Amino acid sequence: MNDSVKTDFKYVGTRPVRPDGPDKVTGRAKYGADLNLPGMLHAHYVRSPYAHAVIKSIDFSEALKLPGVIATMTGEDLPEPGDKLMQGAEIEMKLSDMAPVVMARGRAMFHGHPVAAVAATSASLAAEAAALVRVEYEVLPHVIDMHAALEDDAPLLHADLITTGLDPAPTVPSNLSVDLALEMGDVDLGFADADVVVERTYSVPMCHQGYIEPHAAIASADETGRVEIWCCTQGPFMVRNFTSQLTGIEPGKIKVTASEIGGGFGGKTTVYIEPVAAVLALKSGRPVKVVLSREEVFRATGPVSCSETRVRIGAKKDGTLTAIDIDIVMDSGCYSSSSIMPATMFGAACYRCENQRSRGREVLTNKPRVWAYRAPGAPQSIMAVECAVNELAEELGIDPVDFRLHNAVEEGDIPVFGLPFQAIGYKKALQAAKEHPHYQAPLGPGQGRGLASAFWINSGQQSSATINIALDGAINVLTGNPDIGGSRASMALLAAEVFGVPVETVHPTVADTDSVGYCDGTGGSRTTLATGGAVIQAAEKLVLELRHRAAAIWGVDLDEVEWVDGKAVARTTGDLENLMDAGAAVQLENREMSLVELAETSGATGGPLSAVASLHAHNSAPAFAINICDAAVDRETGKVDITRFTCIQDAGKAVHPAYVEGQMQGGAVQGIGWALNEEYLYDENGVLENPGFLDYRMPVASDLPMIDTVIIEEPNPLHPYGIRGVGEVPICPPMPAVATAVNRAAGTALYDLPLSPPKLLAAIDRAVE
Amino acid sequence: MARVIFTSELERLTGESEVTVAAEAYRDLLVELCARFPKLRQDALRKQALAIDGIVIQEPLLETFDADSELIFFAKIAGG
Repeated sequence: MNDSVKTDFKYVGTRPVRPDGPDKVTGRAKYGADLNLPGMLHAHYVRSPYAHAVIKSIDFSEALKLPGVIATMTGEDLPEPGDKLMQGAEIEMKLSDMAPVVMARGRAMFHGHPVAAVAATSASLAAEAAALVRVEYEVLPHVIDMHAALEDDAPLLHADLITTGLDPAPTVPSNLSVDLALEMGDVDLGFADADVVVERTYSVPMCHQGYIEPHAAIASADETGRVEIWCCTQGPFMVRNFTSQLTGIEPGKIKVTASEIGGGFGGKTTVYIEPVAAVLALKSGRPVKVVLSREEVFRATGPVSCSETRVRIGAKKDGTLTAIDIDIVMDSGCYSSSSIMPATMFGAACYRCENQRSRGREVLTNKPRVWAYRAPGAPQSIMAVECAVNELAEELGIDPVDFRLHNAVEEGDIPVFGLPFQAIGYKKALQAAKEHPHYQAPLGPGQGRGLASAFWINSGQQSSATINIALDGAINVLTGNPDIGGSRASMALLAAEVFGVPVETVHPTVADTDSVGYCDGTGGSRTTLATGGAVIQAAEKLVLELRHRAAAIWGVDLDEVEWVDGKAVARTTGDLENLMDAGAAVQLENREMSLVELAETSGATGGPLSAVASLHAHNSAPAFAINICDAAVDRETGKVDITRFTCIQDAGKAVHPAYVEGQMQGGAVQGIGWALNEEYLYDENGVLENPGFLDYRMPVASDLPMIDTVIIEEPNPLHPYGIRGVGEVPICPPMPAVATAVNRAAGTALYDLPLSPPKLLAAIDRAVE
Repeated sequence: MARVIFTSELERLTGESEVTVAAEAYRDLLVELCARFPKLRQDALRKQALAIDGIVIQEPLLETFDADSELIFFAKIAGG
């Protein structure tokens, strides 16, 4: 391991109480909808009742007759977006593909698509006014199923859409937005060399990120046109950038403050309502609040791509993989934005195999444009590969962990996406799985066990941090990353580690976009790595400054002053003659100054103690995760009970282990829900039939056992503290672990998720027949 | 000379899996590659990150590299 990676910690790796905890459990924490401003208006959307239609006219006249209706908005209130490229979830997107998601421009592309909005003095009045807006539509044919969208006679969503990724490029438009392929070795030769080949098709449904807090924002504008936005988001700087691009307001005139956030999971790494609130605030001259209902969240935000993946895997009798062939099709909704690239790249990233081919196709349909969900795209393709690997291992009579250990990637291996692995902990995690009591435990009657592993690349990106030391030595850490999964606690621990002071003296704050340097959003498993890296750098700058101040006070050289456990300590002990002198002892005792003492005297030694660090993190490193799932199936009802579940993850250094465990457990629960029940159900008119938690079945605590966790800390060799990032990979292995366990318990081969009771009952009946 | 390894996606446009380049900086690299392989386009390459000796640089505009460096163009992944 790189010697520059710190391994000896005093505070990092401990489990202090979260700094945001008291506010959240007492109700003091302010979420997106909790802010109210004097004179505030409430906005309400007019949404398309059709899955595909030309918007011929919009008439607000009746709505505006209601006293208290102040402002209206349509897509025409946003500037012509043009083809400028912006960073989307995983693919750079044209601004012209993003603007209509905020507000339709000329055509409604899905049922529930926003086509207009009104702002009024109360929420009920705004809703009443919205109902009076008359929109004239010309209904167009629609397509909901992604396979149907690929047919030659399918309704065309975009007349100018030419498939990217093909050479030569097609000459006619279609609903196939992306068609890409990666290949290494000779796949055909690999299959010819195999003793056993497994081939199967796997389907994963469209689902929603399912964050508990619906989108909420409030915008106000002053007489100079400067706009302030308060909203629940994963990235206030992203909101500033996107809102500026979409509305034409200069970025310097937009200040964004992130509220507390009730979940995001990738779904709040874009904007839906913030530009609408800003435009209505500018038009009305009053603050405007937009709060989506749960139904609106389901119908018109997120969701997550459904997919169909054909996998073919071959191996020798000893378990050595000879070829892997993946072909995945993903539904992106009405605009290109899906995660087809990572889905294509990472499906088989856990395996060393010389011959691999991976094709990915993205298809457009008349559904809401999809967006990121934790490790975007990877769960869908990993679901397919891992289930096939389990089947292959079983056919060969090899333990599934041993099979994976035999084929596991390690440092130096080159995957199909081309980037060689550096130090990784995948094999350690597999070994931990094999030795875990869960894996050793016998199954109960009627139970099945599934195991799956997964890879996610993690991200770095740009971050900043500011640290100010108060006169009493309190350390105030400001970053621009909303705290979704415990980042404030991590920032506090990292600062405490550098300063050598108790974590309770560090006060982490999520600052607004005017108050701290640029930070990319909280996502991509990047915040502790990158923003934490900025905190480390800022803290190190201040420690250097504190040493300078102490050296100046003592009149010694800087290199004679060390920083030890929160104190400046003079390295020199003076000369021997002084040491022998009784007075010198007193002088030596004075050659130690605490942070508090240095802070108290800072006004006389150079002024306030403050430091800023900004960076573009190039030191991200991937994560691996393994899940073990035991499931029981009621053969009369088709109900599945997850009876035991264990997550093992190569997390790098776990800064706050309880939060790492929380990410692992949260990802597991979301993956279990996606595997068993969660799915978008559309009727023939393209209307979502289950836009609420009564019909969209997410797991609740009583559905689940305690999720056990094991953290493997293989340090990231590129990060000074060995941090990797933990938030995304946990959602990758649950679906195949659950599907394998359920199929083994039920004696079925059902790989069309979700494994809901009706489908599972039918599969059991087929298996019996 | 630095070695550029093309993923299969780019190999379809270059016809080669790897090449050596005289360039020692990112901007020179784009010019050199696009001159040698007409199907490669600078705007398409700019959309990708560049891995220099295994370190993924999302915005490599000002990056330089050594004569023995290994370079891989790599899709930008933001995550969720």
